[in-house]
Amino acid sequence: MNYQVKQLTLSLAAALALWTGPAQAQEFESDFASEFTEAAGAMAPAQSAGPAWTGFLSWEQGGHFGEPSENERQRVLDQTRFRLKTSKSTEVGKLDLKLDFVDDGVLNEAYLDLREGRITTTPFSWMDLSVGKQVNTWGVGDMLFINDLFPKNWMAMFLGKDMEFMKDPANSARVSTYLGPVTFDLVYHPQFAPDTTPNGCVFAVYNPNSLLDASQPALAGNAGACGSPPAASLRDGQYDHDEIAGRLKANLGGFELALYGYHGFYKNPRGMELSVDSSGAMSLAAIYPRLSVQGASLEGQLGPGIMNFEAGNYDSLDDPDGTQALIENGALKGLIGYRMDFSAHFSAGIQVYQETMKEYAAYEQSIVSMYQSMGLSEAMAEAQPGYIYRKEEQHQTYTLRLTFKAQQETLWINFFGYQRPQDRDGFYKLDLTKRASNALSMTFGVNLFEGDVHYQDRDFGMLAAEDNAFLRLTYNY
Amino acid sequence: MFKFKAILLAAALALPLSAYAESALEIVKKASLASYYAGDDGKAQMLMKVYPQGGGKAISKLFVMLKKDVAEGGEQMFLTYFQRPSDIQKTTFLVHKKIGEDDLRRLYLPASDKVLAISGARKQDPFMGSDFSYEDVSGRHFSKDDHKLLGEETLKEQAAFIVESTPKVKEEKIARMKAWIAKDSYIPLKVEFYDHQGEVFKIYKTGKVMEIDGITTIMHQVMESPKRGTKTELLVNPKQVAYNLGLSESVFSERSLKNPPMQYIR
Repeated sequence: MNYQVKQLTLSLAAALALWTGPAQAQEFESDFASEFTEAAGAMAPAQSAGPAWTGFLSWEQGGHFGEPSENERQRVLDQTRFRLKTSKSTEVGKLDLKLDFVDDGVLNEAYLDLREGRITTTPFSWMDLSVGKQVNTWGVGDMLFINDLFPKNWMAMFLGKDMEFMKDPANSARVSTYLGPVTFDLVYHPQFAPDTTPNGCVFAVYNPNSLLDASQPALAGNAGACGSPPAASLRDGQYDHDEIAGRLKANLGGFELALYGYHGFYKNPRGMELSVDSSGAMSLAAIYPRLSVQGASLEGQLGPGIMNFEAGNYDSLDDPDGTQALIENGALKGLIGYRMDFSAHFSAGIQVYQETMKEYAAYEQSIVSMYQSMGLSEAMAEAQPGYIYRKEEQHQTYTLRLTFKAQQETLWINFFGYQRPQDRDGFYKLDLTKRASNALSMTFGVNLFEGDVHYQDRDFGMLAAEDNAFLRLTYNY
Repeated sequence: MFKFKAILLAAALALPLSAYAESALEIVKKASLASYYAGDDGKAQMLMKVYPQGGGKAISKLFVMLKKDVAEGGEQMFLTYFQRPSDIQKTTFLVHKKIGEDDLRRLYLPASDKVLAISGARKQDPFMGSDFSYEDVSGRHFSKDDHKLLGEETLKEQAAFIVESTPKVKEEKIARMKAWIAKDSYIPLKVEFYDHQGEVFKIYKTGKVMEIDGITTIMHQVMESPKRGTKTELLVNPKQVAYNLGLSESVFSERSLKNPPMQYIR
């Protein structure tokens, strides 16, 4: 399968470049002929009943900054992607299809990636129903997600892939009802769809077992050791592994007010389970604890810019009292942000995000108990490579986005940064995109991580040595 | 010859100003209705060609624009559905144009299913990177300016009024505008935009005009930015333009961002 897909991707790519490319380009050009009366005729086929295929061919390369350690890879991104995309709408409904042929040189695999395969119908004038593989998004945060618990791909973010890959598609059914000024959406995932997080295959990640065994490094995985850290798992068989999310939204004089609910699981492995085998050896495995969230958001124009506010109450269902050190404590989360255009060329946005642990006293106590159960005093635990520094009750995240566009918006320079003082880590991305023609564009950028060597269990901190640069060429057809 | 013109100009200036001021406003109102409020609603497939500095190949965008007049000469709604290039296919843009306050703008990015609230404060910023501003595309309301009739002139064999409009409230870019408005159809044939240095920074020209459903429709518009050396052409597909389709206001709601009314777009 793998080999066949690779062959198929390469031959499709070659076919596009050698044959389809120029032909398509020509057709595209004739679409845009200067004499529009003639162009209208040429454009008609794209408008006709038959499915029109479009898509792109992209080539991406990403490299680690400097000399990588034995834990790290020199090349972190090497991907050729060929997309076939089509849409067909009829009286009864609409089909959207996006199929990618991917050849990945880092993981040395080729595969088919169904990015979208959904059918949308309107059973009633006030209802839309969409079923299949699809991407769902809501919430008003810019790269901060409180009530959006749809699967995200953090690896795409950390490797500098196009923003569309920040969201992972998943099998779901979405019902949207429109009753006057109020919209109600319900999304059901029959199978839990977690975020794609660093798993040791490309970047070295925190190894929880280093907490138990001082001979193990705090960071593990990577080149040649892909998949060696325990794969994060749900507690198999204990629960139905489905997810449900809902949103109620209304317009209030230019402001959009929304209420949210979610029942499912933490989207990244925010829990660990300690197990002891027959020989008495202990090990830790990452799990996705159960989660329930209720929240609200408000967004709209305030003065010259856009204000966004969002809040959520996270109930950690597997640790309601906060007594389990290895399971994420429940929290109250909130963010407020403002973004505005300063000129036709420059815009900026800032956000402040705050997270408050709900059962902090119980959490503190649970940490002490945990080390005791491992037969360690806290001082002894601190000497272990994977020692987890006690978290603080309050955590903040600050984000900054700067966007500069020039040359009639064919040149974009984007900066986005996260800064988290209590976790002593951060992530910064700077990229430049140039559109050379209707078909061709190029993106170049860097991804920089910040972290404290003592805080290697933290999201960005564990990636502190993984700074990388990337280049992407895209041919749209 | 020069002397003759000077005499004409002197004669024009000597005419009663009050009568002229009123008719200038009437002309601009009619021009606004003719170019932005034709029909109660409508659709058009448009091709926007943005030429880079110094010429060269244009970067193009193909889209269908639906519009509805909420009040004749007042509030309007627009839904734009992008068709090409393929990377922006299915991107939709909803604008509720308001008079005397900021527009409501929502951009939908289909690949990430994201609805982005866009500030409607900067009406003079470029529309999709082109030489046209948001306001040039959706129409500048006549109440924002003081209007003065400068005279009449024949432009490309068409008799036209020349109207000068000056913003009532000082603006960042526009110091004044000078428009040539056709006497028969009230279609603006040419508009010069002057900056605060007194120089022309944008020139608008109407190209081809056609009768569609009995309504005079601009099929080809050009906006040039002489100081920057850039140019944008906006063309309407004669086979994909229609008026009075009976579009309801619900077509211009957030629902259409994600599930656009394909029956009007196909």
